[in-house]
Amino acid sequence: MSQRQVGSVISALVTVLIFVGIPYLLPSYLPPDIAQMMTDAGIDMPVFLNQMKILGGITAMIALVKGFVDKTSVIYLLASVVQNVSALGFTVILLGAGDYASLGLTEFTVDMEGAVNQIVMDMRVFVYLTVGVVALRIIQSYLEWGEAKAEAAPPGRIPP
Amino acid sequence: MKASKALDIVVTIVQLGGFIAFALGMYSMITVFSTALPQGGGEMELEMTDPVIIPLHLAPANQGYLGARLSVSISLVGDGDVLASSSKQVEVPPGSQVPVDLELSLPLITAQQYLQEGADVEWVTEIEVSSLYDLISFSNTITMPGGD
Repeated sequence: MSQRQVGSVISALVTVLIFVGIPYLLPSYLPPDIAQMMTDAGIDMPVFLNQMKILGGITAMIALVKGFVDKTSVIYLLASVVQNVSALGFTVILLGAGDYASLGLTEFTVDMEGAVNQIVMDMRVFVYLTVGVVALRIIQSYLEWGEAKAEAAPPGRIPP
Repeated sequence: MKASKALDIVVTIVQLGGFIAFALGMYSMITVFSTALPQGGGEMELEMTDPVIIPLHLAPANQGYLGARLSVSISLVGDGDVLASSSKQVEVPPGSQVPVDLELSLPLITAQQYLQEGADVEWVTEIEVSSLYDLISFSNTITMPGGD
């Protein structure tokens, strides 16, 4: 196994541990009152955790694919693009507390001791920042792919 | 240097900057918000003068490293109408505490009607904190039944 392949396996394992393992174990460790408070606030915990697990699984698979395919292949480029888009998905889901459609503007209502708390969090700027970063990362992936193809081309041959 | 490597460095710096801004902004907002909440649940002693003045004193403190802006408004709502309202907006620089004094003033006859047990009255408090040059914000509108 090459160093790149070992690196991709480690990366995939760490991703699975964090983004699949933690959401899987979290419901059994979360205090019932906190879980109830989140449910009352309209946060659908099972859906939120499932979204994290699915994105974690996809990201881990992509990390593995990237380690085992040639850097000059189109699959490598596509895997890099999907990896970046899933990073955007993580950010949107996290900032929206599971509601990706809120795009960083999260609203929820909590009833506490007879008082109604209507909470609004505006984190849209970080969603916009992540969109910009993901766009730049996709450009970077394309440049890397082009550079890898140029390096792999026989001496004297101009890559297409 | 390869173009992809140069772009990698630029994007990494942007990501790092974004993460630091997120952490610092959130920390400032949380410290200001948690100290801006009215403390204690004791009953308020009101002097039945005309008008009746209901004072509210807050002392938000910013223990963070970025400035924050705090907007507070408090209203007394009875039978669906706003009977009295007061609001204030202050800048809370990093590492400082800014006193905020609000006063609700309502005529004695209105106070006698609504500030009693069983009256259909609500206290509506809105606290909004923004930081990172107003790019991020957190607000909580608390509606508490009164007349108990």
